Amino acid sequence: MAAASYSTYLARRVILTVVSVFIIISFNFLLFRVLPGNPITLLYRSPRLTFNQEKALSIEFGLNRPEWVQYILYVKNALEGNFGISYYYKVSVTSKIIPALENSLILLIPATIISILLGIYTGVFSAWRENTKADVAVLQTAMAFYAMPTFWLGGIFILIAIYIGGIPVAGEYSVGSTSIINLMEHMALPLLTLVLVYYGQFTIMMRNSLRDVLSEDYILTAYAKGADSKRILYSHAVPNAMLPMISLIAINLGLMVTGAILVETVFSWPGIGYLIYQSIGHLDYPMLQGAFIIVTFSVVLANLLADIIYGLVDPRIRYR
Amino acid sequence: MISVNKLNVSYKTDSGVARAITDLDMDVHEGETMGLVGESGSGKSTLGLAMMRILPKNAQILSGSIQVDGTDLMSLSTGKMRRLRGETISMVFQGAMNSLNPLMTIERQVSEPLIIHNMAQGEDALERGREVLRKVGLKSAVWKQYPHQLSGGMKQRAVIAMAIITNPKILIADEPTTGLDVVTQMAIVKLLKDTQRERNITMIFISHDLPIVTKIADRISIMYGGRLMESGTTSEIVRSPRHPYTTKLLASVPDVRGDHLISGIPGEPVSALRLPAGCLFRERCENALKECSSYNYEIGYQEKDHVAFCINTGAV
Amino acid sequence: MNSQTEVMDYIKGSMRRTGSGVLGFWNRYKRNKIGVAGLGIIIFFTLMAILAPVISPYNPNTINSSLYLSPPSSAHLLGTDSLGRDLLSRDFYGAQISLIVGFAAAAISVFVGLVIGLYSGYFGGWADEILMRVTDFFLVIPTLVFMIVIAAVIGPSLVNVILVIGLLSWPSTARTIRSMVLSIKNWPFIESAMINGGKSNYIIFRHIAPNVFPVVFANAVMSVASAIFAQASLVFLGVGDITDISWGGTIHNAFAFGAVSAGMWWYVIPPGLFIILVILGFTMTGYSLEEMFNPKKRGF
Repeated sequence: MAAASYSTYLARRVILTVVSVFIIISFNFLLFRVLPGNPITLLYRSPRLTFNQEKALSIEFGLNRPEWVQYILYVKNALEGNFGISYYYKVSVTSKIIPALENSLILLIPATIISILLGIYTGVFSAWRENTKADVAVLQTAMAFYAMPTFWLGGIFILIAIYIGGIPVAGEYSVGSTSIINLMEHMALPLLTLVLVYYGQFTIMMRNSLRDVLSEDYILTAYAKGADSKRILYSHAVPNAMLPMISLIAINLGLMVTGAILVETVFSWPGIGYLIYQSIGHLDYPMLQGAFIIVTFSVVLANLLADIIYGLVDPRIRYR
Repeated sequence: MISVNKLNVSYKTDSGVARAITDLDMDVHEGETMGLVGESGSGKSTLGLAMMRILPKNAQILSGSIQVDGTDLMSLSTGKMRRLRGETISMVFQGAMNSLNPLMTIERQVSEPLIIHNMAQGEDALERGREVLRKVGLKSAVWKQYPHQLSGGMKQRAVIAMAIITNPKILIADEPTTGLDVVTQMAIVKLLKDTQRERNITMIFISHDLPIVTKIADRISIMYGGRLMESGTTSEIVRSPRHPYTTKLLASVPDVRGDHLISGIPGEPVSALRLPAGCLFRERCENALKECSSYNYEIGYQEKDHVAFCINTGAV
Repeated sequence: MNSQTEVMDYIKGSMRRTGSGVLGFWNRYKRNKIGVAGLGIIIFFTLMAILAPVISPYNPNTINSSLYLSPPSSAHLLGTDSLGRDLLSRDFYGAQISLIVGFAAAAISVFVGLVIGLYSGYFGGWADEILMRVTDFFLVIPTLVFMIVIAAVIGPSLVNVILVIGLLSWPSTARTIRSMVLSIKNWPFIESAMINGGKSNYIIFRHIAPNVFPVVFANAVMSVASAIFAQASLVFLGVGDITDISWGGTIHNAFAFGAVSAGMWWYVIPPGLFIILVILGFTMTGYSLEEMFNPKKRGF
């Protein structure tokens, strides 16, 4: 019976995810049809495309057929990862997006993990010392970094790096190099920027979550048992405070992506964010659309993952 | 055993200083059950927390002492006090509420005090935890479950098991029956009473529900606005109450949810932020005299241990 | 104490403490140092925006091709940009766009969030379920990417940017309002109004809305900060009207014309500091208001 409820919970999440995916695709389909002028021209035809490319596209997306057929074909193509042909690069959008997505993940995954860990650590530190000078100092530092525009902090680091010299400020590798060391040198500043801009929100979240938990009755019970601070914090308070953090982290993944776009742009990191930035300049609509769908899918899927983890960690969901 | 002398406790709040307990004296003898009764805001829970030294951060013990076997708890180091907590003095909270950690199995929570006080470790501790759980009437199916899977009554039993596992000398039970249905309330009272007798525990039973308290307490203290109103043996309090507030409480019935009294006592309890001069109860008292406004808490009635703080005890 | 009685106590409490007048409110607010500092910053930038034509040493749009990318000098305290325009003047004028976008977008998002939160919380059931799923969807998706795509398609004029930011930023307001309505709905006088067959819209706007107003207000102030942030990010990425003078736009230019890699700090640092300060100002004010209104954040 208990297992059945957890699977009900999971089924609900999966259905919501699938619905979200459809909404995203449908929204895209509609968006490029509310354009003034001839939307199809804008989306699928470009002076830069060759006649054959255009013809292939026209068949793939059913451009001469009724709108509903176009919609079905659009959904089918999107689910298969086919977003048409880039205006600017004249190759398929997907072939550009896949390597860019990989580059983004190389940067974003370590940045997310480090900023979450740092945020949790500083949040616990702060909550335990609520309203002391140390708490206020940690909180103000976190808020200051959080208020900094990502691109501006990145700019400051570039200014400093150029002043010092020898630190790469653009790209993923030096020309001709593929070594890990070279990659890590290039990654240092974008990673630092992302971590600094994003750990602050986790500090504040963890501090508030832990502070709420610390006022719960079961913490008083733990005190009454004679538990010392360490046990109260790490056996009782922190595990409970982590639960809302899982949901909050999931909700904020979208924001993390936003930060990645800005940081990639500042440091010319060849990820999906930089691709989006370039596509804005090139008015490369198919590319923008494809990147938007891929990024949104990733976030929605990451949220599903967070829901699954939440269900596994919280016995109130696991054994309903 | 326990002796509270001229205790004064206050809370600092945004709206000013709240006097939670004023000049409280109380003695609890070894092996007896003291019932502590009052409406919310009477200071009864504050007294329980003060005995454990787990008052909220904004609370301040202004003066007075709480002695256990002649040792002043206020003078102990934090480390020493912590070792006392859960081992010598245990506390039972309102279990139907949130007193159990939602992420820990029942048996682990119940055996935790043993681990904290180095009385047992690992499987040995868990085994002893199960033993106590069985004793309070929780079957093996429950042991590995989480709090949300238990009913209010079961949770209350688990909370009691947790408090007695270390064989404490003193047990403070703060509203242990609140939020439970009447049948379960009786079962919990019986469990506490049996446990107390069996282990010769000195117990303080805190509740707003005087009828329930009369079923378990040997002696009863009535509090109002942070002061002691009347104190005596249970039969003295029930048969010949001397304070008008006590008579009103005796006539009251708790409401269905069990956390408020549907009482014949008109008016609102006094605010701890603005305690009036004179007798605290005088504004709600039918027998109030002119002199009550200058009353200074001299003992108004005393016969052996039975005391009442009222100048018009004859009217009751 | 459950959340319901908590909210009730808080409303009673705040009424008692603040009195009904603006003066009582101000008396309580001015005790909060962070809040007063935040309000000071907001006033500072509001004055900067209004007085920009007076305090700017040059016309911010005057192009001086002989003086492009010049370092700070006595004539141009913060140097000039890629077209030889005075950077100090452009930094002063930048306050205008930030505040306009911030206030307008926040007004839209709070209005939408308020309406959705009120209806969702009041009616419950299917309407609530659907509205909340939609809210979750908008809460989760990377909003900036969404804004980029929409603005790029419909054209990044000032009005469009305001609309896009406003119409994509309401979910957190909606959620907060909804949870408040859920508890207010159980208050005796609301319940009796509902049972007595009061018109839903009347109950919602006459009885419930005034009670959520303090929280809406705090929320609105916070929303201004995030709208300013969003606008700066969009302009930095090249989504925006290039003829508008804005801080994000100045930083965009600094990158685009190699001023950053050339170490021209005076080009980048001042507009960035202004963005940080104005965001901090609104965040601090909003945070203090929330602290005043939200009982959970107060002491014992």
